Amino acid sequence: MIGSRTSGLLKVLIKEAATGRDFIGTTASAVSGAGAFNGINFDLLCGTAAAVAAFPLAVPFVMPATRTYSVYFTDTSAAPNTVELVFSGFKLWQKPKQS
Amino acid sequence: MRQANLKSLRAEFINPYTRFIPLKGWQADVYRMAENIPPGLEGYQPRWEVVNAVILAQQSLEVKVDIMTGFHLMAVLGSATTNTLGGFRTQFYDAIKKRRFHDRPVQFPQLGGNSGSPFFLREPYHFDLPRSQMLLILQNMEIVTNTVQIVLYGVAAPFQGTLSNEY
Repeated sequence: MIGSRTSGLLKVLIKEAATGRDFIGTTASAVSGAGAFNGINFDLLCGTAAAVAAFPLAVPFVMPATRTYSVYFTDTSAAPNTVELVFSGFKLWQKPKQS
Repeated sequence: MRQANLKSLRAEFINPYTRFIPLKGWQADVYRMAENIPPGLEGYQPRWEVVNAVILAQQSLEVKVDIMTGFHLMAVLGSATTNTLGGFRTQFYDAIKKRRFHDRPVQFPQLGGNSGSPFFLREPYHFDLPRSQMLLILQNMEIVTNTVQIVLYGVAAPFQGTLSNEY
């Protein structure tokens, strides 16, 4: 994944709609003291190509066709934030049947 | 001396030089780019376990994180709102196996990378026991309150119809 944003004060959650599967786990079972949560910091989720910081997922993930992924952004910069998140990969095609 | 005449990579779909990256063996194979899914990890999904914490000045905090069975930890990333005196230090434990990841706390720039320099473990760490937990002890080194985030990036086992932390 590759992304760009105006301000790094931005948190993200990603969920697979059909299964309800969460990609970002945020349920620390025990926190002594103040805890806070609403997602992963955008800059820790993906790198930016501009800063030569783009890095791939270590293990590819196959997204089934026609499945929907919900991405929730939470901005804490209190200013307009222009964000782009790119899912970069390969489209997979069925192998043609051999006659 | 014969002049180097490297082959052009413009028409190559798979960059052959990516093979320079890994060590030997399937665990290191996960870092091979432009290749297929590493053996044994088919169907696994990327997963980011995130810890957000607000630590008061020069105070410490304990956090326990429930880990899905079969989770393979691959990278640690961290950030802090204040980082003038070193930000914060952390110490990680595998709570179920009672295993320390390091003997004494490590400052987060040495422990975890960020998007500018992601920091991958040379080998994934496998949480193979059910109800695995990670214990994190965070210590704020700043003289002001620090909001920190630790991200444990890895892959989680495919969903098999049971609870996420059970077999």
